[in-house]
Amino acid sequence: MVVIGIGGVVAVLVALLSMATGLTSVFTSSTDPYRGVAVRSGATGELSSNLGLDEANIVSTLDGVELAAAELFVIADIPKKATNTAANVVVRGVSEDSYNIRPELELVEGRRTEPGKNEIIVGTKAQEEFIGLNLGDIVELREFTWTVVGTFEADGSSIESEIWGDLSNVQSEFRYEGGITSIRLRLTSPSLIKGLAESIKEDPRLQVDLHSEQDWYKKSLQDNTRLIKIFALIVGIIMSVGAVFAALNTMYTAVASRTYEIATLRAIGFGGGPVVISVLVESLILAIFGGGLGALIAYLAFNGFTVSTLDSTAFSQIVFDFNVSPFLISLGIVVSVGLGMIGGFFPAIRAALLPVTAALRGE
Amino acid sequence: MALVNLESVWKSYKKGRDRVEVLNDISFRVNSRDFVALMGPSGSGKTTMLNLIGGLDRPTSGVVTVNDLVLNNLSSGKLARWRSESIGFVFQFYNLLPVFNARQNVELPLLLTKLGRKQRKKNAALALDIVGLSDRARHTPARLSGGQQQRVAIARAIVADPKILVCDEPTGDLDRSTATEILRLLQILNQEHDKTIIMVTHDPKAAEYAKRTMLLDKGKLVSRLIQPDVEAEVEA
Amino acid sequence: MTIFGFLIKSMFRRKLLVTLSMLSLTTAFLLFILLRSVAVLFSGDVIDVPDVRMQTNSKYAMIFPLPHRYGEEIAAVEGVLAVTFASWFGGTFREGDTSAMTFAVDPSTYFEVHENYQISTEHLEAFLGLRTAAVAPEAIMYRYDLEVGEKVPVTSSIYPNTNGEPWTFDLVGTYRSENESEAAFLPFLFHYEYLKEASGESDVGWYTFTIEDPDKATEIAQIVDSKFENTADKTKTMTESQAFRNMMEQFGDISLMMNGIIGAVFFTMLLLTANTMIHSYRQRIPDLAVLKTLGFSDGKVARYMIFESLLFCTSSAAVGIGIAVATLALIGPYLPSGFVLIVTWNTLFWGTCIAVGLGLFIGLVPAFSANRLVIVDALHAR
Repeated sequence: MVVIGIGGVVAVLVALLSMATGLTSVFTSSTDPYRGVAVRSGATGELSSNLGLDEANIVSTLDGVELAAAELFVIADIPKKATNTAANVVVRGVSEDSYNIRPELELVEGRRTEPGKNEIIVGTKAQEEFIGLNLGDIVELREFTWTVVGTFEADGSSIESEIWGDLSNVQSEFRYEGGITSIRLRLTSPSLIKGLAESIKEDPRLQVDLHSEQDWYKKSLQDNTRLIKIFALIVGIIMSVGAVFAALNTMYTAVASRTYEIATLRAIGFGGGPVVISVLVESLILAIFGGGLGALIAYLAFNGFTVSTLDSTAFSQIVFDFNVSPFLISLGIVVSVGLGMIGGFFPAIRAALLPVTAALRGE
Repeated sequence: MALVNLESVWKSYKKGRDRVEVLNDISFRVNSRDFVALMGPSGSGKTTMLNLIGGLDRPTSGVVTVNDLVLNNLSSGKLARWRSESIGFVFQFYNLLPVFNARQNVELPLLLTKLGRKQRKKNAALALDIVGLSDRARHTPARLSGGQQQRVAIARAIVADPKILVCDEPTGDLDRSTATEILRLLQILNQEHDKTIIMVTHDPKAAEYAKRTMLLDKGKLVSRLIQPDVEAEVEA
Repeated sequence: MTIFGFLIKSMFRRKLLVTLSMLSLTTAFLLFILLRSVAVLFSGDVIDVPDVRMQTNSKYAMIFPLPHRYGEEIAAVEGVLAVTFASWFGGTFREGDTSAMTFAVDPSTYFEVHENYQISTEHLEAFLGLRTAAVAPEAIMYRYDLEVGEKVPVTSSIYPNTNGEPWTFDLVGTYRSENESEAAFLPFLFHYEYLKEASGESDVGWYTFTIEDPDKATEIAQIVDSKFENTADKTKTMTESQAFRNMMEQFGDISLMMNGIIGAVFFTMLLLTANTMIHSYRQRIPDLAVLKTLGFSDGKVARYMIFESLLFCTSSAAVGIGIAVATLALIGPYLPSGFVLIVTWNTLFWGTCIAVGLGLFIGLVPAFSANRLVIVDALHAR
């Protein structure tokens, strides 16, 4: 019973946290200290940013900038496979350097888009989650149709949930003539980013904030994972309380059914210490076994399980896999040890305080 | 007319592969207001016989008739109902329910009757009064001595006013003087409250309180000892 | 003593065992209610607004703006009563907080369309009379500790002030809605004209309008959308509650996830509680034999076991649900705006069903064994 109770807690807790971990890795898996994101001053997401190509040109000439790519972030509605209702997908208009800045992007199928054509390449996650994004499919985005010419992976990062097209085409078809939402940069050295950000801020020609890629995704990360983490914590705590009661129950019963043996041990001279330890050890072994079982169930049922949710910073769907990491499994075991300790402690004390004579008489 | 009538009763149990004969062609009568002691060595079938009379068990063959009712054919539900109305049980280990106090234990059988709450309480108090334990009504079994527990059990047995009391070693777990008190109490119930009592015991001193004693051995009735003084009383 | 009192008392024969089990079952029901309320929120079913209110958004995504002139055209559609519009301002009241519901609106028509919003004439006049005025619902006033008469600084990442400073609004009044489900979603409102002047914004976020006959909602939605079919800014019109549901759906199938957890919790609890019940039953075999001896029939004793298990589960459920409801009521005001956790009748209904089902199921084994219990054997088993 200790096994089942604690197993249940650990399974649910690990499953919930694996969701947070999966989501986290989407935003952190491929951040690179050499890279920066420039957006309009004050913007907290690309959604609320708008810049011009002239600004991109100025930024690209600054010292320390190795590569600069102007990008346009827009949103389109595509039906999700799971619900068949339309949900927002990021469509990113990219320049040649966008690929050079992100070497982790790898085509798994087809080819890149050709300039001047309504062609798109699709992230594998987006392809998995949405209807009609397979190679060769013709997709209607806004008023115009686009052909899927390629599929890409990118180390599990958030761009795998995106659709990429040629910047100028996206600009014209989505009616953002000349507009961009961010400038992606690759610097010659990671240490330059702070200085560069300051000089950009002071530049009278620019209304631009430069963020390191890491900082930029941190906010998305916090916005999106905070609720899940709080939720996992609350659910975990309540379930743990329930499991502790169950563990106490089992161990009290175990002690009660062994009253006679324990009393006999005490009578022939064993102290309270060994009795406490034996009960605690039993509880711990059961708890760890339960914790391991729970973690295993969570791993088998959820690891790699793909879901999508709303990225509240970008107001679009972000697709991610549940990730039951070794850290979570060990966390599950640690939690089970804690629960086992509490569940075994009080019954152990009771066993140690057992009045020997009364117990031997069978009272 | 006999109140309890056993006619060529056989009883055997399966024990593993073997069949154990417990009762071997027993015929036996108990008249109304009688007080019978059943004696015999362990395993002689005393308790089994008692269980048959009390409607807790059924014979393998033969007929058990109590108060003109043939028990063999009754469904378990009817048998239960009959027990609640006609039989009071007293056991060696009292068998009180530990969570309830004395009065509540006594009241238990009345939950099966149509009596109202107040009436039940009153009857239970009366029964406790008869066994002399009114002042312990609120004590739980754990706080009562063995003799007191047995008195509560007797009160429980008589509270629904059955004709017959069936007692299985009622003094088996008590010291001599307490046992004497319990036996006197049974005697009073027999003489003043007209209860017919059938009591299993292996204590000859306890048997002396009965009007007559039957001896069982290996599932057979071996003799019917009748206490001369009691017989004289009956004749007078 | 009554039969009921008798059963309750005998249930607690093993006080510790039963109490601990009840507590763990209580936490299961507590979780059930909390998880269901989250599921209900993300299913979009929390909002229950009159179906006479409809919303027109950009066809492509709710966040895309629409031209200012659409208002007049929608108003011209037959069956439409009053039209207003709003723009999502994305304001935050505190540094680092997530954005709260802050809308730039046309004050005079906004309250006309949202006729169930309650605002005193005094506050409404103050709002209409001042260009920089704003009104806030009670939930936002409470959460950010605002007071009428205050100047409220608000930062927006969508409309940053050119000098980088926050916007400042004169909070001149408060309003509310009797509709509980709606109350938590009420926005902070200020003049669209003020936003337009300061930022040069000329489009609006979406239109909201009321219609005469809720049965014609689909028809009117089609007429409105067809009006803009051949423009660059196509629209999508639906009832407000449908729009809300669509928005929540974007978060994915949270409901499925919640039900998964609930399933895991109750499966665990089923095993744990069944074990306790069987254990408690074993301990009481001699007692049950005594009851049978006293003339309680097999069926009666079996029914007592079922009843006991039912009582055990339903009372734990009642306590767990009670704690959950109280907790939700307590933490409600501290949740982020738009995060409404309510306990629906549906949730309560299923909670009760689970409690009763669990009780029956768990009581089955003890009841069956109690029914078959042979007195003679059981008495000797002591």
